[in-house]
Amino acid sequence: MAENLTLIDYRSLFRSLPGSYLLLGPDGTVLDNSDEHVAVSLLPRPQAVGRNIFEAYPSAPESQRDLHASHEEVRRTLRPHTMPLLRYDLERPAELGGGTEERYWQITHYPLLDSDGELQYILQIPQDVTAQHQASQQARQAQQALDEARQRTDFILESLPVMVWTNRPDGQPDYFNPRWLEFTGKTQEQLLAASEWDSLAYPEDRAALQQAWQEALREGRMLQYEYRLRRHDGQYRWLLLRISPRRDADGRISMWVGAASDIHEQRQMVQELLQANEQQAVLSEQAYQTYQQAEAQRETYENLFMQAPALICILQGPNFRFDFVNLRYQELFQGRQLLGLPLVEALPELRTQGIVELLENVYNTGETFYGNEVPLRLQRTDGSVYDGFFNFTYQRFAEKDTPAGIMVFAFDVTALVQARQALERLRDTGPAGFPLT
Amino acid sequence: MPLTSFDFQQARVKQVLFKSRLRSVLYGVREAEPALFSLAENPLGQWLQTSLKPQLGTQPAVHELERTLQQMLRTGQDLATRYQRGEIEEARAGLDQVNGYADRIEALLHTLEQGALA
Repeated sequence: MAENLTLIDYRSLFRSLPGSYLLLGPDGTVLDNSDEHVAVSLLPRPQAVGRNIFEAYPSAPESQRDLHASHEEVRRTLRPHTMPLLRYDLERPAELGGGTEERYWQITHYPLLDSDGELQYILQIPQDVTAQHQASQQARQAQQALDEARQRTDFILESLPVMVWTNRPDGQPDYFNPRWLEFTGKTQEQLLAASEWDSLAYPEDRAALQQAWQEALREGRMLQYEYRLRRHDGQYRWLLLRISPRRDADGRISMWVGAASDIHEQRQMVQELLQANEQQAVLSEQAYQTYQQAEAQRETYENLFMQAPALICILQGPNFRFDFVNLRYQELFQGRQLLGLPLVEALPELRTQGIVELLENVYNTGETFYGNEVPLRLQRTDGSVYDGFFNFTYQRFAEKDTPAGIMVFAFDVTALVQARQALERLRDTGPAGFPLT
Repeated sequence: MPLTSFDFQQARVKQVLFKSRLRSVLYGVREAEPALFSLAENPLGQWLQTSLKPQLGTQPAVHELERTLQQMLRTGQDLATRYQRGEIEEARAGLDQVNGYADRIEALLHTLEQGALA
């Protein structure tokens, strides 16, 4: 057994130990290292042994300073010392491309004492934790990115001028944005409590809303719905909500996202517009009926006047423009153009017969003129003249309380006057052959 | 009685009334009763039958007006159905189509009015 022990080659055992070991003299001279250490230190053993550790493995001054401090600690206390995570970059050999390699280490220095208790060696056990360190850094960055994304989402949800909420796949709400809280005057906790959101719905809308939501939930499809929700001041406001399922890569619903906007004013406007339009339609219909009645009456009166066995015309305005002439009146003047012309233009022969003065007087004073067997000489289109006698009235009419024109109503009494004149002549002379006295 | 600008004004009021009623349906302010979409019961449709056709029935614009009105009513009915099915936003977006028909009807009324009053 003892023989076997003496045969053990401790040097090669040390070098082939699983693990990374560096054996230093008390002053920091490299005495030996394990094969694994040779590998991680990127330096062949012959180039390291016999040199000071900092010459053999140069690195950044602050890294060397921290490592040196740990050595000092061990020399002073003669107790093992574990360093905090140390960054100690290594020079990369030229055949591996040169430059330096970023490395992180977990290092413990163990003092090895001789039989007198003096420091004989410092054993360094460095653990290369570069990969773990980089992984945890990446994880931290990922977490930061995630936090940033979440804060960004939160900010968007809080800034949106709509009410946003989410439900779990089973339909239970798990988030309401600040607009919801503002609108309802409730806290997040109150709204999340069982069915609080639903109890704020207008009582008459509640059952149908629940039914629509349960159907959408069961069928896993988007829902649009309008209902009234109680605002913090007690007023019920119309909302339009839209809630959609979010599905994961496997098509399973992972959450529901809802958004609602207040459409109360919009709805009210539509209603008011409808009322205004309905009323306008009724008014317009009434106006149209009235217009048609008036038009029918006007036609009736026009027909009556047109067919009346008298001479009737309407002279419009201070120029006495012919606005209406009936059949008898037009017949009197045969084919002469009257309608639309001023009196003196249509019948210039009247200018010298005192008629215009009469009309102006009636128009200005409003006093009706009654003419009795007034003689008038009228021009005929064939060049002849017609001496006639007329009974007539000139009567002013008003529109909106201002003089608008004159209505002429006349009878041609020529035949009557001529007959009477004949009788008078007969009476004066007596029947032929029969003296009166 | 010949048609006057008063008659065409009536038609325009009736046209706006239909749009307003349809909009009210799509905003849940009133029910979508079938009469709303029936040519025979639509106020503009009635005006077309009783006022326009007896006077100007032979004009091609009158027939186009009737066709366009029918399309507008059909579109309105489709939108009301979508609204009832819960496709609220889609139904409201469809009012654009109705406006398109209304613009065409207005243009036809204008043409007919110019012709009738000339």
